[in-house]
Amino acid sequence: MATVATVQTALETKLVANLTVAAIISNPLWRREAVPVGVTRASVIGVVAGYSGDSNETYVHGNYVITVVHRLTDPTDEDTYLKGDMKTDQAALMLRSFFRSLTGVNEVEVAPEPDEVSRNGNVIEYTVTVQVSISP
Amino acid sequence: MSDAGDIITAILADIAAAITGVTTAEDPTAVDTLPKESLPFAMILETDYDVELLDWGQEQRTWTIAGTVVQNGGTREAMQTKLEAIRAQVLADPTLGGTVDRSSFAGAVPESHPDATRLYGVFAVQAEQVA
Repeated sequence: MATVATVQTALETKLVANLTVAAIISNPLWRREAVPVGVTRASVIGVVAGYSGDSNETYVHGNYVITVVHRLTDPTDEDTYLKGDMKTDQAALMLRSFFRSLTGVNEVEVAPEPDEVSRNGNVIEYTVTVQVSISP
Repeated sequence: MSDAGDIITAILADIAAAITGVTTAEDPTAVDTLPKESLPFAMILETDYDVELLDWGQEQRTWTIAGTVVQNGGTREAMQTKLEAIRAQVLADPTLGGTVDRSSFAGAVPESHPDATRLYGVFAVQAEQVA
């Protein structure tokens, strides 16, 4: 039976496999972890976000906030990254099919929504939020 | 991480390229008593260093380097031209020879007595680096 946690693991695996994400951030104090130069990392926070049901089943909802961070090789590379890899990654994350195909996902309940891109020093950061219902 | 000494060396090199015949000094000097053969003269007066912690284990370092240019007589316009020439050199390579991420320049010619035999110009370079 799939859970919010197993779907999160599947999502993390897919982020590393399909995007320019090199690895998932593992340190719980993740903002202190320095991202290596020229590298993209991601972190996923998944929480239970209620449930929905019909006469057949009850589906638990999982809300996932995906944060992608990229450290520029050179401070002037911002333009290159924003117009290149970042656009490719965001385009993939905006598709419902990206999440619907994860093992354990029944349906995408709230479409993927991006948040503003921000820059802190040489690190570029943005988030995507999505809510899915989990197959029982 | 860049060294303040390397940054100051780069700035003095820019000044030497901007002003013909200038003598430069890394430390404050008593310019009022310099023989006029040493003029025009440029020196670093004061340096300031600041570190700010950013997210993701980064640090933003800011160096502010202030200095003075002295010329023998002449006009305030001539001193302004010298400062503009230094500005052009600094902005031609804002990385100061690869020592910093970016830098900016400000210069001004303060008021002086009409009979003054030496004219002063003041400038400051602010350099930043994120590492």
